[in-house]
Amino acid sequence: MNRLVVHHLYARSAFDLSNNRNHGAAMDVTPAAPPYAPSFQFNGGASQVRVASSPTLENIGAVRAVVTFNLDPPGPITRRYNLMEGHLSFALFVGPNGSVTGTILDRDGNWLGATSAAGLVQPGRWYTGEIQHDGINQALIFLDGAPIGANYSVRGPVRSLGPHGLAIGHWPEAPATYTFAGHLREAWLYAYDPFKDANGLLDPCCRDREALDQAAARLRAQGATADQVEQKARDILAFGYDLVAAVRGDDEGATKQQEALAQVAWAAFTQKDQAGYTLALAQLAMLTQSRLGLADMAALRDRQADLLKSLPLPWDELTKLVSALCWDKVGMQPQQLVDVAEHLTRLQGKGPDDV
Amino acid sequence: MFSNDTMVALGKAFAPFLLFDPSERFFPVAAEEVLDHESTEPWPDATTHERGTAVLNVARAATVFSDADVVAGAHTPAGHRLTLDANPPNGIGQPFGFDPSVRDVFLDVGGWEDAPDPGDPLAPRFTQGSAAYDDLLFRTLSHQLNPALPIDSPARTPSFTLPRSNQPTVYVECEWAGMYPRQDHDRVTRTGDHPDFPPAIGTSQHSADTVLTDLDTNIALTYYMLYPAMEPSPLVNNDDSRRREGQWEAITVYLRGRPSDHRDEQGRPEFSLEVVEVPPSEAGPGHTEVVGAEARFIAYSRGYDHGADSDSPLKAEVRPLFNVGNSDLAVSTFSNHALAYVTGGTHKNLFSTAAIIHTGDSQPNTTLNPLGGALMGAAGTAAGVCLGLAPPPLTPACIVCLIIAAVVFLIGLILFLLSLFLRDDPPVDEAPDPAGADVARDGGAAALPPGQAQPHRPGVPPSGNGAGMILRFINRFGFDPTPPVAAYPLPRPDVAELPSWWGFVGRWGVRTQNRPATSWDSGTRRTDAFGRSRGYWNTYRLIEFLNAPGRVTDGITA
Repeated sequence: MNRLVVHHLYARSAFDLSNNRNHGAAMDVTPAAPPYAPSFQFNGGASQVRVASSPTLENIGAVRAVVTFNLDPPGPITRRYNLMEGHLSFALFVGPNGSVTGTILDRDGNWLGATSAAGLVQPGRWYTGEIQHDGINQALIFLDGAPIGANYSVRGPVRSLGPHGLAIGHWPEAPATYTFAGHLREAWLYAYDPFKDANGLLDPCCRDREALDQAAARLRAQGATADQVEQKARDILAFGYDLVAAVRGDDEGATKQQEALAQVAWAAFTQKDQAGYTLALAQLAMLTQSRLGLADMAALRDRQADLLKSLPLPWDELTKLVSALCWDKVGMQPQQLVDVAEHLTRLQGKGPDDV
Repeated sequence: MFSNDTMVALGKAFAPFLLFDPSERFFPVAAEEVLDHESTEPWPDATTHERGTAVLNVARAATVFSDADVVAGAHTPAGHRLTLDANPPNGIGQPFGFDPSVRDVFLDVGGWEDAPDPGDPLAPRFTQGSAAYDDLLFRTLSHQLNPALPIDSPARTPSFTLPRSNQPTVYVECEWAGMYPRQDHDRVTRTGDHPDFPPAIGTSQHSADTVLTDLDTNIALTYYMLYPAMEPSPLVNNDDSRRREGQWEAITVYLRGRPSDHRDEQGRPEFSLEVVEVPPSEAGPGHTEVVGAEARFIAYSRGYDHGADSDSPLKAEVRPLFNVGNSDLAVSTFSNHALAYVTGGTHKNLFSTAAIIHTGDSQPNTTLNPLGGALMGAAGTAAGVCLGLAPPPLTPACIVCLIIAAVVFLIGLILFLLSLFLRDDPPVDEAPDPAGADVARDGGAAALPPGQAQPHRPGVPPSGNGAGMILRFINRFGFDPTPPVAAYPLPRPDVAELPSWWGFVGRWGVRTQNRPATSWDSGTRRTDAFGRSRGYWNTYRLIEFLNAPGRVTDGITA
């Protein structure tokens, strides 16, 4: 689940309304008078809003960055104008031809993303620009809520912000090369928060606190630290995303199909719908088999085996916690899964008239 | 001159009505009584609760507390009661210096229900305070306000040397609102930590020196209340709501005036104002007018989330005190006195009677929810790998592989949860969202500002009593040459004082272990080592209010 980690409305200051104290230091900007108020006027050069790095800007994972802007340079649009950029993490900007671009610094260290058609941004008009990256492979950009570009080969996750933090209307580096000109009104930044996912799955009517207590006590007794356990959780998360990325590849169709099936599986799990869960998992399994070769599968299996060897508690104890939290109300039924997969395979072999 | 008498008059003029829920059993007490308390239950007893009152200085990672951790106060039969001064060994005003990143200092008043050693090293201890004892300790006051609570006292009668009060006590601190962003700036300069307040708009050449000045024309009158304990709402199943011993809440009134160039030693400007008592006349009832300043805003503190401490923004709601043309932000007042409805058990201050369902602070964005769903996608993919490498018919190894595929990512989420419970203190921004409800109803007890009668709503007979609050006055402005009084009992009412304990940076209740099986949280602080108090965070919330999108439409400004 994504959590709002920065929200600025540029009326009087760059106060962070997201309750994370990611306030901006607004420099060389002017609070605008009507009809542009509320907004800060950026005059190019050193104009900027800077947010220092903070714990809530680490482990971004997936990102959604949104900026409401009115680009109004003294002449025609001939250079890049930064809307929001996380140092060594992601960027959203207007290009020299009036296009919108959203990029991330991908897994391989390349700035990759999506760029819209030219000329979408006209000087003197209000727009809301947006980049989304799902942490896996999809970079999507929007203007006023409408999709304007996509790239399915941008490998995540989105990185923690670098030491220069978040720059709004400016490049994170000192030179004023990409400084915005015009008015910025509002900015939002969301980041993925696995704790929210875990908490969101908790059932207040079925939560064995004693079991959690005992597990925590055992971890504490064996000297495990919170950071170590969290890191192991992040390792498992990262492995899961690598699995998903392997199936999706760079393919838009496979990405959308996998994403849709995963959402169905998630919904079935949370609604305790065993049949729906098995069906979605069977489809995901079939998609995997159609997309991966045996060598890829073997490599993934070996990586999973290594991961399981380094769990901080024995497997049996951890699976008991799954029951203690009532997360076993739906689960893997291997024979049912195979039966459903075989049934789906038979259906795929028939034409529409045979079904 | 901004004299102590002026401050006292201001404090009286804007004191709020505190209207309690009929179920309430904890009311604002005199901090001196908390400090003066001495339990007669010996700590070496096999069934000890390790009651104080004592100051303990402990490692944050410590899982048990003992005599060795007591740095001042009573741990019967050792030690002696705390003294209301700064003198060793038992003065509460001693600095009690500690590194808050690794250690914690707290008052132990009622001790812990699970203090005795059960002999099992894995069994949790020190996870629950003793609200029942705290209740009985102040039952005389609570009976006075809520007669449904019978007069009672702890089984082992505690010892007090100071007179006990049967009226609620409220401490009003008068501070320059501009002081809070400056305290923050000083803290950041000294520690290099993250700022709490945003900087003012500055220039790239001098970005580090732009202290927010939006509130420099404001005086902040903060009314502090110390509750012996907080507990869940009495009406609903509130298992996730946290109990705490020692809860500070506060209401702040902001007056805009005209600061002069004359400054006190700590940089506060002098305000020229006068408090005038207008007698009753044909034109209306008697009231108080402030000449030279205008009451603009009021902030009501809103309790404590799980894990909340004074180093992170404490909740409060801010509204303009008087007429603003936005009916959604109306404040009920009698003359200058605002009405605060206090929620049962949790002591949140509300602007009206209400039942509130609270689901936490999270502001999820559903646009990217597929990433959470991707965990299930990963499970399906892992299942595909199992079947791809060992096609049907199913082998035992493949079955195991499939089961692991379905569970391993859930275990990842469980490890995230466990990591929270391995922290010495619960992280306020990631703790499980509290589910439950608060309730503040008519008809309960009331703490009344000086000279005010208990308000009645037609048709709602009060079940509680109204009692005049004892107002205590703390003037932070340094223009009056008369030094503040530090002694207690006070030589006379209505004096400006600076109690010895006002700067105590520890918690005002027991520290409890961060465990999933407890519904307790550690005691709260009046202030931390950097001056971050309820008044400080109420002012932070005022800045938030002034920057919120709603101000674009209603036009309310500082």
